[in-house]
Amino acid sequence: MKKFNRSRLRHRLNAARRRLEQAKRPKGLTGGQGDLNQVFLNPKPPVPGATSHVSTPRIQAPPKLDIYSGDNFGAFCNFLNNLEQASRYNDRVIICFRNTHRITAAAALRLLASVSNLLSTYENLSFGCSIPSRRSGHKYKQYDRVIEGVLQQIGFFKMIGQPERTPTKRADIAAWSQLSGELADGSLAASLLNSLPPSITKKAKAQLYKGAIEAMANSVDHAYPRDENGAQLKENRWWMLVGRNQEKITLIVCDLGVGIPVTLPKKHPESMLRAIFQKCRILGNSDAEMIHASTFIKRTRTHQTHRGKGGADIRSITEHFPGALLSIRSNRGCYIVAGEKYPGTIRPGYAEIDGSNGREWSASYSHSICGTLIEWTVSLKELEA
Amino acid sequence: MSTIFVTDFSEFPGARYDSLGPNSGEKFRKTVLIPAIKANENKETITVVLDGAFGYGSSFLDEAFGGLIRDGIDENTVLAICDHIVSEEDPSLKIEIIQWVKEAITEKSK
Repeated sequence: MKKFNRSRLRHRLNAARRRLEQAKRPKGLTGGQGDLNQVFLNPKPPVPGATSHVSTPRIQAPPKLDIYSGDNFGAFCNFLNNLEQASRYNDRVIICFRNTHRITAAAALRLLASVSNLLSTYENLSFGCSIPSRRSGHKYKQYDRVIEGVLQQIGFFKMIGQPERTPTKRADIAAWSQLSGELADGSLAASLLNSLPPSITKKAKAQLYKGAIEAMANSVDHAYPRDENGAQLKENRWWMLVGRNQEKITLIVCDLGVGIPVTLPKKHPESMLRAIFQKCRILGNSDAEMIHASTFIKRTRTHQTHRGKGGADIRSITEHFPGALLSIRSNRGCYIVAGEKYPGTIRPGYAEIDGSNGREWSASYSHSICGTLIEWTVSLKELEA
Repeated sequence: MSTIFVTDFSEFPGARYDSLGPNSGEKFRKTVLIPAIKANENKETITVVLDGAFGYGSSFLDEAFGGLIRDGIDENTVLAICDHIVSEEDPSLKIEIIQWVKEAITEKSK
């Protein structure tokens, strides 16, 4: 048994007292498991310079920052919601990644979009971030710095004003490139696509560009609400990420707008939507079904007969590349369409759409992603052919 | 013969309207195509070369070429331009443009 050291007694008692005080502080619950503690939802002190009467809220990121499975999607949306609520009422918010061991490109981009949007919305807001310790023997010893590497790669630390970390050595993460903008600027999309391997043909890049520029234009044109005078109520920003591994490339475009299920009935005449619903055998009006319908809209947007060809461009990538996969998530719905020769399988939780010959799926969620996220996955072989 | 290279306008053709971003189809029509058509008093052939640009969204193509019909340009003039489009890198673009122009003609005749 280790001998008791009296000289260190005071130090040990002080440390124990600090731990007790820390444990008594109110904390936000794990993003995916509960709501933010009510103590953080009080309005900010009205007097400038006044200090808050509560400590800084810590918003726990869920173990898996992922939007592909239903459970993870719900936990992720809850986490984003907690983040937004805490940011609304507090000037400083800590995002805690201590429990997080997995992060996907789509979730990373969506998180970045949220943080960027919150920082531009609340002038005095600042974020802190806690990630697992790198010390060996720590209880988080399984942590392999993937989360830190991803956050560094997407510019998260830079955005929240924290010191940048050592770039990751993992090739699949180091290949991620992202940017954002407020206009449908083709040069920005091209700069990301030019980061792809030179073996990808010019024609293949042109196809990806076609989908990307239409997704960007849709975000700028439709996603964000305007007031009665046509003025933008919210920064109409989009975020784009290009990633690749040895087999495929992924292109993601994301916005924080009102979502396709909201814009679709507002921007198109009912008769036209009814015709599409009949043609596609869509029976309801769930978010997933509205997204499905939007990919068939080639004409008649905003009651102007010549507008609205972007939906078809977004879908056309799966027709041009038979091994491609397109996923569109907007608010509470998800619609997936695969090319004719898509080699992969779709995860459980997505229902195959009748009459699609195993090429289209949809899913409905109880949580909303509060915006739209379009993701294309194309095999490198097809892009190099 | 007059030849228009889209790359002289931009290597990165953008969205439909100028309000959405730079190098839009609307801007290409108003600043390049329509002035070229109006300046072409001798009714020479106008050739539009699409090759060299990074890519094209359908909205850009529709607004640039279908928009000519909606702007009141004679449909025979527009169809003649379509016939002389050069798109060796992606021949499907020429077919797509003709489709948008024909749809614009149909819409206008309603």
